[in-house]
Amino acid sequence: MPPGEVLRRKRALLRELGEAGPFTPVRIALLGGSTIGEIEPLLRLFLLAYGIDPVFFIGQYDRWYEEVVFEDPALVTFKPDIVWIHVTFRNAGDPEALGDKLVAAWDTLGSPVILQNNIELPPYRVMGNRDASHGLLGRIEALNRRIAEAAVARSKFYINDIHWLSAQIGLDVWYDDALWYTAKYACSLEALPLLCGNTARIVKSLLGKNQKALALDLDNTLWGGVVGDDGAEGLEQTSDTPRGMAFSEFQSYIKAVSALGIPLAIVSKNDPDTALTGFSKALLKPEDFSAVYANWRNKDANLRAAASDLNLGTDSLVFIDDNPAERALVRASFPNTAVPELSGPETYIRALDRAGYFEVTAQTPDDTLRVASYKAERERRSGAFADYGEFLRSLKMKATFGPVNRSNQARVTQLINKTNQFNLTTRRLPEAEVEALSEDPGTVTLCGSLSDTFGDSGLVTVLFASVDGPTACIELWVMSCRVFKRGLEFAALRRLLEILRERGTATVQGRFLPTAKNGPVKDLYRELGFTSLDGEVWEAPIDSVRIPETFMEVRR
Amino acid sequence: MTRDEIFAKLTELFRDLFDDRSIVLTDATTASDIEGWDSLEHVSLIVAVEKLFRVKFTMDEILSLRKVGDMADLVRKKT
Repeated sequence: MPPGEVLRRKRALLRELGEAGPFTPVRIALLGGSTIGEIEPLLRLFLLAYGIDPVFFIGQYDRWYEEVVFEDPALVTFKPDIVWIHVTFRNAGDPEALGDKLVAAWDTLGSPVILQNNIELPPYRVMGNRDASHGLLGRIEALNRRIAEAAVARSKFYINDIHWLSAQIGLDVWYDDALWYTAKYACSLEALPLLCGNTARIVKSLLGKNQKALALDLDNTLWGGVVGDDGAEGLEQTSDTPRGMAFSEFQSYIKAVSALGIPLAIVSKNDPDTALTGFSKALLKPEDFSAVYANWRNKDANLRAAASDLNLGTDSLVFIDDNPAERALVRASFPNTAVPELSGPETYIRALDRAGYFEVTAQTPDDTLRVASYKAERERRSGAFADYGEFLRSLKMKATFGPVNRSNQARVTQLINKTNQFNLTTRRLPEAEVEALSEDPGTVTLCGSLSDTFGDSGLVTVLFASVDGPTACIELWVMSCRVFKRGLEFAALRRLLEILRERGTATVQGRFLPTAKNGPVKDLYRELGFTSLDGEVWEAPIDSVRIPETFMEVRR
Repeated sequence: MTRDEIFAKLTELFRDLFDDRSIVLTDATTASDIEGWDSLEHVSLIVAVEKLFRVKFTMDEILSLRKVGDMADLVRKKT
């Protein structure tokens, strides 16, 4: 949600989030060198979203030093679990003096965890560039080093890195001078959701509410391309291509996440035998993964199995998948699984990184906060789908079928020659032959496209049947793996049989030629009620073909 | 933008910001008429109005704004 929206809908969001629960309580003292104001409701909002219900002590305006060092009775009585010292550039006119005051405050605070802002860069540079070495800017950098060293040396001490946050959104957005002069806010209201979101992430990490494992799809998520179709050699995951670079850097980011002690899992709709061959040129290796589910089951079932292998609830997982329909299925089945939105591979790292799922607050036993017990598994069932059919119906799919013709034969040819998995005969054809067959009176051609609420997949399936008197034979049947498990193959076959019936077909045959990659469809004809004649040709009376229910609107 | 259009947008903003669908604004509406419109919320309100109409108020204007009618006039002048 953009920051303006959070600010505008703050009250309604607080009301809605407050109705959820159960919550983990925490006591936080907000001590500031500038106005706390909106920080309180916004921080509450972000904490509620993490299942944390805070009680706040709001310090007096710019009295943080006195309140801590002279042990303000109200603060002492409050007994905070966490003290956030929200000082900023507005308090750093004399950086060395501020540093000394901070040290005195840290030394006074005994039991609570300290959340300490570092200092953002100044909004102006009196000397220009020389400020970095000889001016205020250089002195603030020195203060920040002092704060960083304290975070290394002290226990129960964590940096709230506003130096980075202000750089992230830019100093011209971070600073609002009129707001400082009129209301004594150290930064713009627009920056507050970012600041409070960042603070909430540290708190939820301290309370043990980080996500704990990362489940990843393979094709077009971990590497570019589809291993079942393109083969291990055809995948993009090395620096040879722009897309390959993006996937390669994503893998190195994942590797670094894994090094933090975050277990990885594979959850991929794929052929179990070929899926792992994709790792031959990958930076990640199969042994980097603690659970591997690459098969043809639905993702929600596989995700649950992976969570169970890792001894975690599904609410502890982050699920990364390039396919919006798979993300929607997982979100609906497990509302508490973290499922970031993604677009192209160049967006993956940022989507994962900015969410702060694995915010590190290296804990010693001493750091452990009193954590009220909370249910580990609380998957709200509202919004979940009763069954897979209901999920498919929610996609509002529309299938369109028509014959192969001049306008689509290029895409048809590409699909025929590229598809390996859902490909019954793996016949490869040049475009000229596709064109010839489309004009051949003894051949029925059919191609289909599919769209759903997430977009248009375009032309994704092709069937060719030869007709010889009362017998027709499906010589070619391909479907893109982008639309596996949607029932499009059944809708396509139903449409083909309608056409064949009109042409007087009584018996339908289908050909299946096994390859290394088309295992997913080896039982297709059997499941549709065909019987095998010789291991290659399957046959059924046209009215005995059993086509499962489909959940899409069909257009011609 | 007409003054009526500005009022309609302001009304929606107030209703969201104060989470109260029953708010009806008039020229004379001030902080004392709306529950939750205190000095702190005044600042948030001004920033939200700036964002909504893509205008920027000067500090002097911010300090002078009291009534909703003045707010609408200022927005009209700036858009």
